[in-house]
Amino acid sequence: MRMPEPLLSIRDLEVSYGAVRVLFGVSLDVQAGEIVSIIGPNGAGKSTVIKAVVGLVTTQTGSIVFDGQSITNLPPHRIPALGIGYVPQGRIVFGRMTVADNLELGAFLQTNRTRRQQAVERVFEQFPRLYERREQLAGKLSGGEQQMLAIGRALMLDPKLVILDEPSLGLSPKYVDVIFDHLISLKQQGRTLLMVEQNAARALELSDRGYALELGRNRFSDSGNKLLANDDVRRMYLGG
Amino acid sequence: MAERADPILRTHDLHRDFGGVHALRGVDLQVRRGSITGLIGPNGSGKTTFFQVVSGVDRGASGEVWFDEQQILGLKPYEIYHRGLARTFQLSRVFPDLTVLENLVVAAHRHDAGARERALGLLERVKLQDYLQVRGENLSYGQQKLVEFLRVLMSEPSLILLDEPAAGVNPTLRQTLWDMVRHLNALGTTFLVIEHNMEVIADLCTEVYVLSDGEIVTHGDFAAIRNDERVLEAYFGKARIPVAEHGSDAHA
Amino acid sequence: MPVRQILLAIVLVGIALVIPHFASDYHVSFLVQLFMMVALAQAWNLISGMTGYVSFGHAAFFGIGAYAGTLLLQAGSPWWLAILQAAGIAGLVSVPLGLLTLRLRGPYFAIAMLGLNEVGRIIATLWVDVTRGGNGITIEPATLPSLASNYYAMLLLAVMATALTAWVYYHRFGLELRAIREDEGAAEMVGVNTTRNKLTAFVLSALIPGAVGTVYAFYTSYVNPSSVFAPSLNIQMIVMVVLGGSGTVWGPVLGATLVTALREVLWANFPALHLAAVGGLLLLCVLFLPGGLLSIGQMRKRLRAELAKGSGGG
Repeated sequence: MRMPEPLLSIRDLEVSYGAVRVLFGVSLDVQAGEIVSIIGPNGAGKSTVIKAVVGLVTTQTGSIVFDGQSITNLPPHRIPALGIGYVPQGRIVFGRMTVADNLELGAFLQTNRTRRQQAVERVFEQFPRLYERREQLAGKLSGGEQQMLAIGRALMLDPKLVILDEPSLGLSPKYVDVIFDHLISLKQQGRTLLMVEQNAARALELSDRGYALELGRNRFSDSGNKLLANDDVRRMYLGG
Repeated sequence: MAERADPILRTHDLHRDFGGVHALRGVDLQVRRGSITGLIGPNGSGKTTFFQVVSGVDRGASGEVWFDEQQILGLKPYEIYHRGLARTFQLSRVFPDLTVLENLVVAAHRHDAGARERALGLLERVKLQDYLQVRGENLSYGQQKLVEFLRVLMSEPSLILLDEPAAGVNPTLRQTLWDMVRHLNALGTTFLVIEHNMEVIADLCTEVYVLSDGEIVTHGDFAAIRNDERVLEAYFGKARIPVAEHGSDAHA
Repeated sequence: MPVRQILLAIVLVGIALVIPHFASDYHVSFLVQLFMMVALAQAWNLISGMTGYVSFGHAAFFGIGAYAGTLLLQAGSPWWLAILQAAGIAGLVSVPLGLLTLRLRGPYFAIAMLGLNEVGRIIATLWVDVTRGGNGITIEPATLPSLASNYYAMLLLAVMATALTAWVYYHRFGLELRAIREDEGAAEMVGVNTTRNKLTAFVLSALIPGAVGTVYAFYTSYVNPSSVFAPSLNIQMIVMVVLGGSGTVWGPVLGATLVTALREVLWANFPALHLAAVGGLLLLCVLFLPGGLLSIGQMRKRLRAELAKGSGGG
């Protein structure tokens, strides 16, 4: 059976921050409908891969193809329109605006008011908690709720691919469960997820496939479960 | 590098709560005098908070911090500095508009001729003596990191907290830094090092403390702890029983 | 401090000392204002240029000094004592004010100082029993110092302010202030007692305007809220230092000279243009020459050094 074209395909990615080379030729694929995780110790370059995809860092060499289209070095403001929703690291929300306004901002590209409203309602359906807190200032939400809001905002333009940078960072264990359950639900809706995660075990549990990076290079790639059971993967975090 | 039995730094039941987020949950740690001790742990484990508390920047913690058998919890950073405990930062915080010489002299206990001589001596060790009058902002990043390291040496501290010294630094420069650390250690300076780079830890440290979720999980020789299940779990995470429904491969 | 600069200072002061003997009253008056501006610029430079706490309301201390000095003179103090006492009062008041405002960062500190200036103006306007409110106080000529005395008093203040700045700059205190300006957190981490240093700079920067305000009141023989708690004075203090070279010793002198000269020229022919011109200069400076005019010399020095290094085979 011929493998369908991956929704996202990264080949031989090389990225540098000034004179410091961070990625030395990373490759990965994400098939439509999958959850794929990128794991690895600190400094492995996981976040850099994501940032290269959404255009926040410059790709020196290599290619990034999304839905059949090359998006290598596309400026970040062109990314949402293509169907990619990006949830950056650190629960970045506009603290002094309400939950509802934050969501609306996620869809500012959508000029049709009705469609925007529909999108907001869809997010509230996904996250009833946000509906309850829709008039509250985003800065007053708990960490977990802010993360929901950040994800909700990324969903406003109905993306095919949702990219998440460390969704569990700084969240209490209970909220990690909550957020990860939501991610599974997103997959069931037919969306594709690519995430960078520090909590490798939890991420691999829910991923179809995973890529383990070390010092800017591919090290292991396999199904989520197989990576989870792989001793070498675990030792990668503590050297040698 | 003779290690003595008494700890130069001792924390007891250190707690730091940021309105609901328990960054430190009763940290008990001892740094042996004359050692190079490592402090490792995943992101968010509380390592930086620990440094902030010990160096006096964060004064909202409870518990005890003993430096040289004196309680320092609650003292201001400059007071702690003058007692002999210095700290570097992850990102270089060289004073941009001051010259290299001024950057160094300002950190000495007394700004006198002795300080200038010491500054010059330190710069010669790393071959930066020609950069005396260059402003901080005109140095390359690597040079800035070096100067920042030299800066804390100006007061001849007995304990230095190194915050990710290898971050963003090329291998040659790293080697220069390690040589200086070892040299100073041989002369009696104690180091406590936060690092993510395990090669560095393995290379430099005689003892390692592992912090996870605000608590010390274990400590000891790096070779021993790196195989410790608890440590692996701290970094890799704890998996729940995989749920079959989301259609992944059958569990091997 | 470099010998050349000390010699230059001596020469300038020497000339200034003898001028009243053969210059007209008009020129002497101009110089009184010039010396006043130099002193104020150095004071602002101390807290804002060197320490990095940019104040938008330092005229507050000028106003406090003007009123305090006037009232003390009327209460019987000899004029020279009144100046010292007024400076002392300004300094005293600045301690609790500093403890409050110096906790604030950047823009908040700037606006807090602006607010203080306004508070000063309002108190002066409302406390009619003491200050005669909006009408102001006209001082009895009999007790006032002569123009020459005012001249020498202002000159002394300008010299002292500049000497203080120079001393601060070339000693430990100045280095610590500049480190605070660059990165207060890092300064704290290398042993600088930031609280004590900031407060000291703040108090010193209040003493000078306090004295200067008094001399100004004696010079004009009249004090009223809007003339001494003057917003335009706040702006001029900023412009003079930024134009000349913030954080340096001679920058404020250069800037004060230019601004005062500009004012004289415009006042005669296009009075309305004065503030606009000053504002325009500030804008150009901030955009193209953030280091002020003095930095032009620095840039040339650096350029020469770069060229020398390059050809020397670095």
